[in-house]
Amino acid sequence: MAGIWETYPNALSLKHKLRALVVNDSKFEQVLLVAVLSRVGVETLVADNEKEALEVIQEGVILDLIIMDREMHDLDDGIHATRKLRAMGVTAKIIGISTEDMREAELEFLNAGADEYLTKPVKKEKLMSILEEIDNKI
Amino acid sequence: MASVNYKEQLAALVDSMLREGFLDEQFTQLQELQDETSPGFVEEVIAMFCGDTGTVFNEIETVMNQAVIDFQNVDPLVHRLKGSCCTVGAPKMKLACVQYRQFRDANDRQGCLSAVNLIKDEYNILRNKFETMLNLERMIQAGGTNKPNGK
Repeated sequence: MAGIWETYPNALSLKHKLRALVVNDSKFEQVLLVAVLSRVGVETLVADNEKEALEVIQEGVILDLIIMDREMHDLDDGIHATRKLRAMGVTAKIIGISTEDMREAELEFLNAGADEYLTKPVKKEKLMSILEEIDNKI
Repeated sequence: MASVNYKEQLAALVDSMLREGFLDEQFTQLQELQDETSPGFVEEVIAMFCGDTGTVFNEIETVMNQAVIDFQNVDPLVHRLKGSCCTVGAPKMKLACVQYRQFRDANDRQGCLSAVNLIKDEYNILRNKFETMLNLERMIQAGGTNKPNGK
């Protein structure tokens, strides 16, 4: 089966250098998302939890994209963190991710301030289209 | 050549795992992330998945060894396993996690116990197959190629 890198030669060429933050308490999931994002030249930071995510913002880092896992130490950590980030004035695109394929889960994230909600596994094609959208808006 | 044979064996193993539902398309997408700049990516991913899963199972064991099992403490652990299964592309193991959730929703303690055992069984089968996969990968790497899928 051809992977996306073969279907789309040169994959994705972004016009701008984007910066993303992956908020996820699973190192394993962090590594995978970082690998996918780095492959197209996105500078990617990681945070293990809400506290670290907020610290990144407090340090003045400007982000284009935040990929926020819903369930970290507590089951709704990601929703709580999203709310806090928006309250801090963060304007980056926030993608909430979870294993829950339910409308309620999606609505909770969107109501907290996320721009989109994806169920795991996060598909590369979807991530690429989100990056393209961000890139085109700059 | 030996390395060609190992590549064929690896391709056949991955194909059979896909056909039998141990792996799905997500795993093949992970394989595509391995290249000259990250030749050990698949091995790293599998090692992290197995390490993470082992840790979670230890925590589950601790909860299950209590005189009275509080499944509220098992829930987030199984949820974490489900996330890892989705990410690595392990549908059979993910299904076992879903079954646990269904038994929990039905307040079926015996069902929950069976489901936890099923998750472990599925993981053990998967881990064994991953070990075989990694051994073949290493033999291929030793032969001077870094494409995991025989391409």
